[in-house]
Amino acid sequence: MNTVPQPDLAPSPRWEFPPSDSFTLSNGLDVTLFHLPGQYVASVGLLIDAPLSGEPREIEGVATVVASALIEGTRSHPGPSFAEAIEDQGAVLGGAVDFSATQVLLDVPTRHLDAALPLLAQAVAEPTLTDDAIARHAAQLTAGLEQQLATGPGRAAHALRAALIDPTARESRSRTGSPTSIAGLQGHDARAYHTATYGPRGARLIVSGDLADGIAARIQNAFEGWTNPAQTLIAPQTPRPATPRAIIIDRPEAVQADIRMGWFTLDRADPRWAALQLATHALGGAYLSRLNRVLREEKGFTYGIHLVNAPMRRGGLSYTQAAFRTEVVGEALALTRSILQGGEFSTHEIDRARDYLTGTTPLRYATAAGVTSGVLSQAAAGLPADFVPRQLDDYTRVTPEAASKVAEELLLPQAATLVVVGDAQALLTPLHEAGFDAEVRASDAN
Amino acid sequence: MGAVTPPTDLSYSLTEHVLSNGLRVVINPEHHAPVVAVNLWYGVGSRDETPGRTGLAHLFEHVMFQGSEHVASGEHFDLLQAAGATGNATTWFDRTNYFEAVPTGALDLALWLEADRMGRLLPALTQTNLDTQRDVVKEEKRQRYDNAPYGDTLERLLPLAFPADHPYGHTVIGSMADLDAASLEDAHEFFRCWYSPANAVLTLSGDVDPEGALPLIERYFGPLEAAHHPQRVSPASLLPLSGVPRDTASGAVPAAQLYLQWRTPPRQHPDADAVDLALSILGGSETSRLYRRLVRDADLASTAGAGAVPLAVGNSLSHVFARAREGVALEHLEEVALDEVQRLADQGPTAAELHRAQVQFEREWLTDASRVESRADLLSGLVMLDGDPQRLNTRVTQIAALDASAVQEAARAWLAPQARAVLEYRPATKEATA
Repeated sequence: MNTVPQPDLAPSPRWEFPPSDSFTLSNGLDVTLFHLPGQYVASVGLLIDAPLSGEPREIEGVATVVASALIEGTRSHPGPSFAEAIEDQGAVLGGAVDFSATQVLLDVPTRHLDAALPLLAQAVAEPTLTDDAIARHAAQLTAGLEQQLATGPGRAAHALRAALIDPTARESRSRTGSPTSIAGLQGHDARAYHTATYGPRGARLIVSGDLADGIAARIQNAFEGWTNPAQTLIAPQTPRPATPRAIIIDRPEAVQADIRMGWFTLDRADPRWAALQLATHALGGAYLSRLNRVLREEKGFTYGIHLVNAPMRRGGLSYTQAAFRTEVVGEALALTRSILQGGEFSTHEIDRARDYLTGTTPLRYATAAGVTSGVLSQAAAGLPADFVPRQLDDYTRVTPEAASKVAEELLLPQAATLVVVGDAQALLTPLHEAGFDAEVRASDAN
Repeated sequence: MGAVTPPTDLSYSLTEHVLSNGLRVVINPEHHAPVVAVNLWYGVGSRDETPGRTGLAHLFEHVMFQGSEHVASGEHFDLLQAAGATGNATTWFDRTNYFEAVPTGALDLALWLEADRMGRLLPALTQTNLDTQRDVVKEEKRQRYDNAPYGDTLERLLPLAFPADHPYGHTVIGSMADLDAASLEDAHEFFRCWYSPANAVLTLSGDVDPEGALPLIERYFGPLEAAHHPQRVSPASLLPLSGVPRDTASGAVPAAQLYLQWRTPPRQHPDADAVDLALSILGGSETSRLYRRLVRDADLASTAGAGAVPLAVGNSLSHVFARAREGVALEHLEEVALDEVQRLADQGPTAAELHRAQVQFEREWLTDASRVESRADLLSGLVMLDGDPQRLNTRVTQIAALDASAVQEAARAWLAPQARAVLEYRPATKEATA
């Protein structure tokens, strides 16, 4: 049989971040348009500058309930007629809340974009947020939270956040509030939160897709009338790390343990961010990363272990995530510790991490949805408009020494916080032997 | 609802080709970004597994990443990632697919890697590789199914629709006992049976042209032998269910859930699209009948919907789903949900409902077509299961052409309340778990 030798990589055409047009409406709303040929579903994102530290403590979750209830009717289209008007255009509208901002997102076939834009403007400017709608969405949010906390990964994510961030910060608690805080929510709370936070000042509108001529004028018509003199802007907080600890959340008889080993690390504005990204990829991002190569490919202990960076507007979290069958947890943790202290990165490892992160960037911004969500995420973190090309540039300058140094400073196993969701009775001894003396909590504790 | 403009056909450029060894090829050039999606469908899935060897198609998919004659274990994905590519593989009832999205300059490498494992896997398929991936797959099963709330839902729904020995009667992940029983010889035999150019479709979407890409495909895949593969089992269509088969489950779950299930026509059947529109009108969005009645108006459910598991031959499965609010009996949910299903069969959809379902389909189809990765996947599927990649360009207009009577007739023929199966899933009580 003929065999052809392994081909070399050819250089790929140069890629540039898609060009944009920006302008500001008279009400202060900043608009950015991305003209993307061949993208027949427009992705529209409106960023509301409302950090969750602005939620009253006793009704945390109100921002999420307001965002999800925008679809429940506006003054111009009360009740279900609003969702029908959205769906008549083939559109879908939803709200997403993060610690630093709320995003209202609209996806719509470009041939229906003109008709859908005024509906998005109505959703943010004049939602009815009736008592009924708010009660129903609060109940749905509670049900969703219960579903999330019933899963190992959901429970672990919740506990890790609380354990890594000092409790004075809003970021230490769930974005969506707790069952207790949501239970107290009333329609008037939601309407008051909407009045205080939804306004054009500090807001950003991103419109991406195969856009027709005249789009700017139609955006102006739809959004220029949006005003809110009662809007209050809130400065973002800077969360502080909590003291490292180890916690087992008991799920008796679970056949697997969900494990997170985490640290309080960096945001994307930090000069060490690019080095942390490359270090993270080499340790636990790649398929044959140091962690996955041993724990999955050699040992077969897990379906996969990943080391993830989750940057916030200020500061960030980095953590390993994996599920292991109960009987190998001790050995898996001991291996994780020793791999994380495995010494300096080689030039080869860092080159490969850089090539992966650089090479996959064009793909991430190849669709309208990719551009809009990427740009909104950067805007919500207060990053500059040229963040993506700058980051690519920064990757080229990271040395193996710099990546090793940032890993040694930030990802030390002895400084990690450990969260294990699993069968406590079976896990306490192996955890102790792996160097973690864990506090046991019942699975229904907060 | 304003004036309704009908959609027009899309105009994605498609070139079809068949190599002399039987490999079917689709090339879909689009030069907006310097990336190419490479997508391979093999005509084998869990439906082709033999009794006692459930889960083998998916376990085999894992082994495909463990090296081939010229590629070391794990190197397939490692080389691609270092070239700036993303990728993965999935196994389903009717097919197994392998895919990567690569920078334009890595297309040669991706094709070389896929050809090496398509033609020359066996020298690398060792007992050690099989055993490690068996452990990995068992961890995947624990993570996704055994240790997850409602994780055994599909495992419980399938036997309500199909006999145990039916090709669709077991889950893709298979059973732990069968995974344990899979031998090295089973894996070798599986490869010899199913992995050949004549049982595969290769699609390239993105920054390529047929003139440049076809010679590359010939170079890497042309030398592979046209091995014969067995005729696949094609189960006959079963009649709609009768006698309302019912299963009750309990477990560590936070809320009670209800599933109604029907045997519906397979994806090429003339009624299949109308059934999908009926499901969309019943439960596809926040304006759908089930959502509006159960969630919005009556406060009986925290969520509700409908959907399908499309299958290639014999029957597909269709589902209605609702999660009960605390204190609401599943029997009550079932009664109200069936009332809505019956009402659609009796009266058909309104013009506005039909239009909404059609334009929602349009957005979803255009969204899939907007990403090179998902567009390549759509094309591989359209070639393998429908024999026609041009359906990428015509599906939206086909769906827009269906009328209300077709949807009503489909609901009456395929979603009759007496032809349902039922799964009731409830939180375990303290006494039951003690």
